[in-house]
Amino acid sequence: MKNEIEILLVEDNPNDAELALRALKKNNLSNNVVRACDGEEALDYIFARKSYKSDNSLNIPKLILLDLKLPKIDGLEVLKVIKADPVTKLIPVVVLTSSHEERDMVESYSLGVNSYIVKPVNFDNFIDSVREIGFYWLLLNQQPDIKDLIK
Amino acid sequence: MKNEKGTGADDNFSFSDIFDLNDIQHIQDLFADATGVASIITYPDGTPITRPSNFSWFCNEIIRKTEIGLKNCLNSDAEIGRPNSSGPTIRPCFSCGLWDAGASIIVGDRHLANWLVGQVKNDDLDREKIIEYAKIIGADEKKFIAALEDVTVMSKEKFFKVAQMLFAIANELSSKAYQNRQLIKSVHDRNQAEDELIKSEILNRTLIKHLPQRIFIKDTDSKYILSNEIYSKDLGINSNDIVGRNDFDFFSNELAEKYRKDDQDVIANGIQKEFEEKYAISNRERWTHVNKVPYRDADGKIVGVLGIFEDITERKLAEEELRISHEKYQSIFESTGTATLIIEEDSTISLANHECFSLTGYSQEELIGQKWTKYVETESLQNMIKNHNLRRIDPSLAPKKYEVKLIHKNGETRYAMLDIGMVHGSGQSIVSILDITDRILAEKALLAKAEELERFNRLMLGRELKMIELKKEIIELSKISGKNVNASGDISTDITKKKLEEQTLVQRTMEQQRELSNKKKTEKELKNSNNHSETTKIATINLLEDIKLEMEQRKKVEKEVKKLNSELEKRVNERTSQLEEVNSELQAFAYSVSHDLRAPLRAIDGFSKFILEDYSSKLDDEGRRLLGLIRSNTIKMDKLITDILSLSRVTRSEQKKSKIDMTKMALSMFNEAASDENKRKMKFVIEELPDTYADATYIKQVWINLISNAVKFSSLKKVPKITIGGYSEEGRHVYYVRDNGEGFNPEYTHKLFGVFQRLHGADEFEGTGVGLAIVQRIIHRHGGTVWAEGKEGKGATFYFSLPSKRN
Repeated sequence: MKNEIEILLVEDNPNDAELALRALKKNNLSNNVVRACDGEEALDYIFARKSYKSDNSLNIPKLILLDLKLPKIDGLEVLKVIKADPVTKLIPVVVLTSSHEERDMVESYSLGVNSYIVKPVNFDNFIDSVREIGFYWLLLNQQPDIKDLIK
Repeated sequence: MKNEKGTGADDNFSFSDIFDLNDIQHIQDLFADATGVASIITYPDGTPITRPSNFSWFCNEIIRKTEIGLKNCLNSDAEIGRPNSSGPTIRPCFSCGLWDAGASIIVGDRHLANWLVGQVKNDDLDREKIIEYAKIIGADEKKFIAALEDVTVMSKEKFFKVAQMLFAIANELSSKAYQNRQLIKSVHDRNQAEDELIKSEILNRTLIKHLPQRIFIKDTDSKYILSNEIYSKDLGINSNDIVGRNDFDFFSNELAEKYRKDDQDVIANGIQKEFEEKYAISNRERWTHVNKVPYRDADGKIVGVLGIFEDITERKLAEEELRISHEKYQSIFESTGTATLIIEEDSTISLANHECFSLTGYSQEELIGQKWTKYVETESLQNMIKNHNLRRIDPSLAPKKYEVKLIHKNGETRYAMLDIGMVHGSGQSIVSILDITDRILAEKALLAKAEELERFNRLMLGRELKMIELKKEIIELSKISGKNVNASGDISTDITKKKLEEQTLVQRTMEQQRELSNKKKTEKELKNSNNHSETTKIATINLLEDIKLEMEQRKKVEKEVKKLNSELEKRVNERTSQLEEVNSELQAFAYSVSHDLRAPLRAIDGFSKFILEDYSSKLDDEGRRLLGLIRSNTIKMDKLITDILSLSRVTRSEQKKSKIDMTKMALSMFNEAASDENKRKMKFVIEELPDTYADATYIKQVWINLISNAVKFSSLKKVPKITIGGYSEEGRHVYYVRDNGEGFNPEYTHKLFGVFQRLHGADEFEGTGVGLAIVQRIIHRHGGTVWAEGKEGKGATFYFSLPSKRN
């Protein structure tokens, strides 16, 4: 597999997606990003269904950035599905949302989210957050090689 | 030369330590004889070491016999013998003026002696000047001149050659002596090292022989080189015979192979291996602790393996027994079914079983290491301490079982029955604790019920008494009238029948008795007088009617009450569900605010930033400033949303109350709200505040909001001053935050706590106008009030109160 996907960005709002992609680009993280516009597309991508059908049974990004409020299947539901599968539950999922709600945080963490980041309104801070997420999850943090597990 | 005297291993040596004086004298004499010059060897200061050889009459008997002459001679010898690496020193003597030459003898870097030759003359010398010296030293001039005539004549060339030879021999002597000295030193060092080696060898052998451990050394091929006796004895062989054999000679192939593998591992990798294993000695299974280390030669090369075995069977068995006994003890301790503690003499808990958790609410980890007294209510504590002390004097002095009150982690009081035993030979005690809270509470409830019942009985008695009397009267009346009045017996219920039988009980009351006797009198009167019987009958019927009426009335009221109650309940339910609906709507609204309102804001800020970055060259300063304004306003909007949400959260969430140390909390919130710079120039006073019982998260918010307001509005003062204080008055605690800042116009006091109400322009002081509204909402939810005092430009004081009663 060439050009391994590093980040799956699940974001319905096109503006937010553009901001996030620009923030990733600023931190040289935008080369291998796939964007899913809703929860259903995110799951289709990960489980290689419909338009993402391929030889692989699963697509394993190195990191999933997940918005919570999504059309069709919402973020918490997506998280639940990812964390229920023995293989995909190993993918780090960072919730990147506008919601400060305690309820959402508690729910996300009980479903096994790896990080919960509130999107700052200030774009400069947003870039900082994205840089730190990328640095931490793609460089600093060590994780098992999931692709080995699928074979 | 000599080397036997003086071990000389140190650097403090003299000429005679290095040279044999006889040898030296002999060399000096031969040299003088062969060359015809006089010669002597002196210390560096000129003091003679050897006897003079071939000395002239002139020097020996004339010059050196005078005091001045001798002194000058010694000085001259010292001077001429001074170290000179380029060659011999040749010059007329500083004393008499005859030719002299000298060379130093230096060993290592020490100047040990001077070798001097000379006392010859030739035409190069000034004879007259020499003769003048007689006067200087006060010698007899005639004898002086005669002796001078006798002095050996030697050409200058020849004397120079003699001097060169002297220099060569002196140097040779010096270097030989130095080598000699090094030799002595190295021999000495080696002797010492050998001595030590022998000593350590003996020590090692003795050690190996007598150590209880099994010790062996094998070569790289795992063949034995050496073993101690105890090891070879285990193998059933003499320790001398073990050399050259290997483990296959003594152990099963399997074991020997394993040992060999261990050996090779140690040898190949240069590592130490340490492990415990079973080891069969004469069919007995033993546990051994094995330590194998690489065995190296003097150069550090690995030439084999050194093994040390220790028989640890006893230890293993003891450990196992200990483990089993510990497990047994642990499982008994854990399964006593009652909370059990082990308490040290100083009342520290050293062990607690799982049951303690359900009793106290604290986990085993939380309990262990704590003072046991911490969990006991104060009134029980005195008694417990007394018993604790008595028990340590004599266990029989204190009761084995007694009741105490414990405090559960959640603040509840638990009743417990302690059963205490001492651990013999230690200050420890075992306390098993039975939770009797339910029993005690049940008893109390029972008691209350019993009291209630008694009250009720007493109440009923009065009424039933009347009934009984009535019935009696009716019976009496029926007797009198001769009519059957069974119909009126209907009113006597089962209870009254029963009570009738228990009349004696009723009669116990004095009052009742009196009443009864009065009635009896009436009865008697009735009995006696038939005339009165009709009247009584009518009265009885009236009374019956009354009772009937009253009962009907009561039934009606009861019905109404029931109806009202159920209506009320219905309304409450309706209202509750309405409230729940509103609440959930509010939650949905808040959720949507936090998510949906923020997204466009983020887009505005982000895209403004894009313009600033991507089109910077096309924008002038004004354009950039305006974009900057857009961005700063989005941030303000975000702050507003955050504040509104936290305001709504106050209303929505449930309260979790706990005890709060308000002084500590206010102080830490001050530290959070005020920057270091604020603190530097500010005067800050905090008084002791009454503690309270409230939801800590929200009360923190109250402090933060009030203190940051005070900091903000006093920030323009030269010396800002903030005072935090509080006091208790009836039913409530009052707290305040006072500042000497901008203050406010008292006319607008009512506006202070409204949402979005600001009494200052945004240019003067930043803010969203929600902070005080949040404070008010939190305090109201706690059943308290907020108010403020202030004047424009004269500072402000914000107060809040909280009820002092817990509920």
